[in-house]
Amino acid sequence: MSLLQIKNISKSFDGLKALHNLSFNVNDGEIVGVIGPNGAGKSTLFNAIMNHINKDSGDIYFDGINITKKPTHQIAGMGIVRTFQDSQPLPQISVQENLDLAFKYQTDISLVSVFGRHKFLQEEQQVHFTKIKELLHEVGLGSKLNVQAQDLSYGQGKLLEMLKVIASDARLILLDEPFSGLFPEMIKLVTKLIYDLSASGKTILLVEHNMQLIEEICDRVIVMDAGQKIADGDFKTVTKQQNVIDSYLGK
Amino acid sequence: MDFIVQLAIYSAIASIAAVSLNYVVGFTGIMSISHASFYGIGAYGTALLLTKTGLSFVPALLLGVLITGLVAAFASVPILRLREDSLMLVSVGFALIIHSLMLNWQSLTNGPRGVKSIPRPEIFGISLTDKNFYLVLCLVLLVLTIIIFYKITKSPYGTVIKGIRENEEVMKNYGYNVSKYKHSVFVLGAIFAGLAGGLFASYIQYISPESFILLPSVFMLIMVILGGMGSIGGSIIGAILITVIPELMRFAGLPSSFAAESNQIVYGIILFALMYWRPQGLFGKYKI
Repeated sequence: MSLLQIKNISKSFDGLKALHNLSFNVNDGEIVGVIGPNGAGKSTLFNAIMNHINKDSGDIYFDGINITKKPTHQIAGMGIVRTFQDSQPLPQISVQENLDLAFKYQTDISLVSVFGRHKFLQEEQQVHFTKIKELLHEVGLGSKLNVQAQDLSYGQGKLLEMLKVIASDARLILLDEPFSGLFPEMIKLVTKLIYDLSASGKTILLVEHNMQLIEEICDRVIVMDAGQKIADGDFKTVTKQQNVIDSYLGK
Repeated sequence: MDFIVQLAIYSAIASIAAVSLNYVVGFTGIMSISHASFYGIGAYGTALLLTKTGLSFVPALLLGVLITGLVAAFASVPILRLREDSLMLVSVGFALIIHSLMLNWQSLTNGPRGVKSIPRPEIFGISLTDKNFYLVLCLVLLVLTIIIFYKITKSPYGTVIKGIRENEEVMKNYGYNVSKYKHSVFVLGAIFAGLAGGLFASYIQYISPESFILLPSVFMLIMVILGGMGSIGGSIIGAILITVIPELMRFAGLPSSFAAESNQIVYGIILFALMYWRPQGLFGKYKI
């Protein structure tokens, strides 16, 4: 069953077609790679799904529900999370706080709950704290718990983004170039985290330029060019298509 | 001694205003320059209720604070639709409107002549005309303010508003209704500014629109920046310093024609020094 359905999405910026009649489905549990040259509309697609931008036309369905015009926080609340091309940890708060914010609290975090249901909030925070320590330990960032996110290295910042995705427990994960700028050991670590997410039943949409990783990780690949889908299928098939070679892969 | 008690009262009132402004600006990143307007609405609300309706101090102060909160709730709708520089400018616009209303709505505010003979409070039969008693009242309310904001900022709610200060888009992306949080922060901050204003009006017993123009908002902001963004203790230190410095300047032996304006020069120099050498303020962790 399709978890995500993109139906005829179009978006122009000052006459430039960033997305043009784009349609595709992503099935529950799939890892789908989105590739294409710079300016193909890959990040715009993520912005459109999360409703960071208004679409000119078309509809987006998540788990059968039309999310086209829902505010971003509601879309996220339904179980979609995205990372950004430039990793964006919240710089002037600690690594622990960054991760705590990614968890979904069962108790509504409001002024009323701060004074009326403080105990429940504290209990939840304590549960998160235990999980946060485990997560950080797993990727070798155990000592960074109380460090401000701005003091992490670039690669550590990328790892933190991945841990936030894990903490969010979202069903659909949109990863925008999670490997860019990472050295080989870190790439292995992020790859493992993606596999772990997939193994736990998550659905992943992955924008990436590293073809080796796309081939290794993805079940299916969508190729975009000038805001349009020009190919959709398994890696070996799409990379043999002449239009994909011409527009993106080269000879 | 009388002079020191007076300074302590002013410092306590300024601290309540500064802590509440830090909650808005330092913790949440809402760069509003309209805090003195809410301080003024609280002052006018309390003063007018005391002088025109004959209400006693506690209900007048509470109603003054409630009115401030209601005005803030309405004002927050257009102000918080904008961000950063635009928000700052529109908050200046709001401050100008409020000042103009205080000046021109003569039937209510008495215009430029202000509100005179505001009675000092009486609580449970104890008259607070004695400055020492008034200081105790201000300190009790300051401690209450500190406890409330400390509890909020140390809770998961506090983490959420700090996250909003850092990056609104990322926070939306993790399911937080950023707009809802910002509105609640703005209104609560304004409520405590109104409380400080009500205390100020009742203590000084005379208020006029000139006390609530744009400049006091800037002074409040300097208190917060000097003490440190996102630091409750820093706000209190900042408020005390900015309250005490003008009084100390009196003893500097400056020509009287110059002395009145010299405070602003000192504040200006403080701002320059902070932005160049310690942008996070004396006790803050966060840079603007």
